[in-house]
Amino acid sequence: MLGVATAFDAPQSGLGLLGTGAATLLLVLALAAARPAAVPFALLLLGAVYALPAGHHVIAVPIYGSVLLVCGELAYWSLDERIRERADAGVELPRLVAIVAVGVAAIPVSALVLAAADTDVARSPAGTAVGAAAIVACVALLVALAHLRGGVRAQQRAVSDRFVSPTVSPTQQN
Amino acid sequence: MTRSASPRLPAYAALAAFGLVAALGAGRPALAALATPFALLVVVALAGAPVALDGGLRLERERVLEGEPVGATATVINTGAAARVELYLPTTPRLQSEPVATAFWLAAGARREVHFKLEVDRWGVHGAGPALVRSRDRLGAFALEGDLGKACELRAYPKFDRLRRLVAPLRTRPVLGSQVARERGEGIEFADLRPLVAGDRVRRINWRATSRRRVPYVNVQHPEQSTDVVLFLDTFAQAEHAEQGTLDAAVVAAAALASAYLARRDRVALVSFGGVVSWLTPSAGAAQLYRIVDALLTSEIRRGHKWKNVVHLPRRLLPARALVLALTPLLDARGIDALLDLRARGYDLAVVEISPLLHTPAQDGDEAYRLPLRLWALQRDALRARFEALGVPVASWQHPHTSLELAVEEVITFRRHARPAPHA
Repeated sequence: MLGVATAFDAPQSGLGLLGTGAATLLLVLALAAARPAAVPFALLLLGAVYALPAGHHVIAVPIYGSVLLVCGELAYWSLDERIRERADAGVELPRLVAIVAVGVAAIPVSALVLAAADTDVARSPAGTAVGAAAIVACVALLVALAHLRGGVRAQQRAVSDRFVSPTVSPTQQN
Repeated sequence: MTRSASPRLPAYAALAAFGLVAALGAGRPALAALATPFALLVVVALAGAPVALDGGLRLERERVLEGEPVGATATVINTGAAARVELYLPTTPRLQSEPVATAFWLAAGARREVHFKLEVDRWGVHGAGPALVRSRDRLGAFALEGDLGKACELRAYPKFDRLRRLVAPLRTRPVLGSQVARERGEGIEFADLRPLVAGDRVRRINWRATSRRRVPYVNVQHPEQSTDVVLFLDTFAQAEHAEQGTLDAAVVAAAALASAYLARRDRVALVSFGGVVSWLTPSAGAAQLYRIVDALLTSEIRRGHKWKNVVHLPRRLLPARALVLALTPLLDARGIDALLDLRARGYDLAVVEISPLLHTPAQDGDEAYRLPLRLWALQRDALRARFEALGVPVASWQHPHTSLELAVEEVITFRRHARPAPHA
């Protein structure tokens, strides 16, 4: 819906609709095949549909970014809840509240970043360096998280597999 | 316990980095604003307190009878941030639990107990647990998975029927017991009359015989004595179909026989003769019954190729006057030869053959196996005849279709009509 509204708002709505369609298809495939790797590409496409066409947008940037985040969170949440289980009532409420809270908190933060980025300052090496440093920090975080995941990937899969399958091979005699 | 990050954190960090690079390169502030929420979520996730859990598994009882349900309680204590917890108790084919995980929200510092019901399908020593637990923080960004506590040992004892009649040994021990002996002495069962000799008690005089013969005669009785029984379990091989096999029947029979003989104050020994030889020396009383049943719980077929015979057994394990009751499917030549060797050494031997024919594919109606099965049955008949020619009764027991009592009656009947002469 986000993508469609943005696409119609843009001068070349055909491309926008195509991008939106591809993103939707990616999301659907990711959820159907339980492949979380496809979700970021869908989000990237939806972001590109919004950001690439120049001009005024009917949906404000902070709101679009926040809703994009919520979409991604809901997609990943759906992929997390794939095992058959008996759940207490209200067990999902804290996560829902947290997602909405982060989404709502992201709006003023995005607006602040937009305002800061919009200020008319001359491009300078210092400014560029700060920006590059922020990018490096993000990449470093990515590497650290990837390392954390990679180090425990084999063990995690073994435990998760035991969680999903209803019976396990006997580990005791007899 | 294993900690892991959700795959979306690196993805969000990459999206944020890409958005910033694109904003910097293209000079489009909107891209930076679009990337901000993703970066914010990563920061919030990393800033949150870590999840940590503790707990364990406890069983309602450590010993049950086969087929009885037993309760288990898994306790989860949250020693970290509030988390969504999923708890699951893995099962084995012989120890069944509910195959569905339980999910609940656990606040920081809270404690929760989850009850499970375990169904024990078969006797044996089973390992229950450890319970598997997975917890996620509020945003689901980090997860903690692993075993909760340690596994608990559950001993399931076989259910067996009470035997009303038992095979009587040919010879007894010179110790007070419940078995009427062949010897003559002090007892209740009348045996014979003999002339009075010096030292006989006056109350033993049979006045009717004395008045008839005009010479004092005394009654002689059969004393009640204890016996030695050796339960000989053949664990070289078994026939198995689905989850049941001949070893299961042998264990049930051994437990029933041990219980019955020990109840009448006899001494019972146990020999598990197979790839691994293990034994319990003869003893009496309730403690011996628990020892035997505990030893039976760990019975299993362990394949070995080494030839073994009874010379490998300690002499004190096979008392000369003992009745040896063999529980065997008569499948392995080593087990059969050991039994023939025992008979040749003069032991009082009886065989309960646990029929392996019930565990064959022909029972499923497969025509291709019918002729080989008939040939095999004929071979088994010849083997049985060989034992019977030596005076060893072989009673076939088709567990669970027939009762063990029928097999015992068959042995008793054979020994009544074709009893071998006891060796000196």
